[in-house]
Amino acid sequence: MDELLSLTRTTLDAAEDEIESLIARLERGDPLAVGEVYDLHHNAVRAFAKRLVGESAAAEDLVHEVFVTLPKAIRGYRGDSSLRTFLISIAVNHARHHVRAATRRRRAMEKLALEPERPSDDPERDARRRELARALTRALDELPLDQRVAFVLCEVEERTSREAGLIVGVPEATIRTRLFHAKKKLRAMLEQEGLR
Amino acid sequence: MTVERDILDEAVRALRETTAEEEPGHRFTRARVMASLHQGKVRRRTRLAFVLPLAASFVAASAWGVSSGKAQAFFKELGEAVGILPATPPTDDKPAIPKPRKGERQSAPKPAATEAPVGEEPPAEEEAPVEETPAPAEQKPEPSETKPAETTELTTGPRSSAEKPEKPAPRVTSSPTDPSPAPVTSAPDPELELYREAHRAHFQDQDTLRALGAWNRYLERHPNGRFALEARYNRALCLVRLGRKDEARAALAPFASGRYGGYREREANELIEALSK
Repeated sequence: MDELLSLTRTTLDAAEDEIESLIARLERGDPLAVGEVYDLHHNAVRAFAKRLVGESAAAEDLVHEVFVTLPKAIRGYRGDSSLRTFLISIAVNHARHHVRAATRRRRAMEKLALEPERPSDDPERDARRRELARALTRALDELPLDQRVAFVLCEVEERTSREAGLIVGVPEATIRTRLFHAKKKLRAMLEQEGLR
Repeated sequence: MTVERDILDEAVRALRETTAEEEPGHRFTRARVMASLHQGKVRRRTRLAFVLPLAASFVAASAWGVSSGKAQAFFKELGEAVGILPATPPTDDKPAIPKPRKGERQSAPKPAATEAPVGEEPPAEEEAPVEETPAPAEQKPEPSETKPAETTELTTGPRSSAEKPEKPAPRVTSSPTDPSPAPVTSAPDPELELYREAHRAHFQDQDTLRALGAWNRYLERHPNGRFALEARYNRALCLVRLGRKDEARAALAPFASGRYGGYREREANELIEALSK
């Protein structure tokens, strides 16, 4: 049992050292270190970006910006959260422009009915799912960015309000308030769209 | 209300699922990230390659300007031209005369020159023998060691050797090539007359003994006068020439120790060293 504990401790120490070395390399602006972080965390960052901006192309742009600015942003990393959480917070900080651009594009696309459809095994279910996701994204477009970020972090990504507060850099209570208002507005908007 | 919450939850689930799917474009984004980082690195290197030589040139030019004393004169002139610095005021014991412009100074008539006997005004070439002396009579217009403001000025180092100290009212420091000691004033100035007399005996007539007496007279009457510093130094030179080594050493010692902000410090040290041989 002691051996197992010792082994676990050694493994944890090694992992910590590895992360520290990775962060040191990031601080030096080593592109290979950025590549390593990308490989480890791009899925999480991309998922968050897509949920926040509601569009693949804009999400890719946001992911790109997050990792390009990482060597500079890492200087502000204090190690009080995981590197993944830190990456999400960078995405939040750079989201405004991308959200606005994606919202504009989405509105134009909807007017022209150019939303691409993907083939599926269960077309009916997928159609319903896509309709709901689109409706929620449209409703999110109407929210202020702060409320939108709080909703995506807490409801869609299922993070705690404490974690969301760490990411956004505001108190937990502020996140809860934003979430409350966001949900209220979203419900009203979904109801207006006639979704049941 | 329950229905509303359900639809919101369902929509959230739908959004979560649709956005969790693997994106085929992630490799492309990775390549873009790496390319952007590489470009940023190249851009930084290029910027550095341009900025470093420029900065080095600027630093070198500034250092040269400071060491040669030209930077101070340049910034002063620039400040006056732009209007940040006030124009140099005339000295207290002179009537206020507007400072002549650089170009005007050569042709402008000098009232003092017309009042003083022509023979008393040292010609432009009189500086030549001064340069031959071991320590030429470079003079600063405000030499007093007792006035703190003037001492501060002295710390900026001696000015050009061609600069004359006799200029009384407007401190035309920006024209070091003007060889004339004649003041731009019409009022008689006993201090200036004494200085002129000593200067003439020292540099024009090269009568060392008479010059020493004249410098002593000047310093007796104007120990804190405008030209006291130059007078002290020239007096020391007279003592050197007369072979009165101990007195010369004593007279040169304050200059050598840098008491006057470095004014004639090097020359004084060299003279003291020569005297001790």
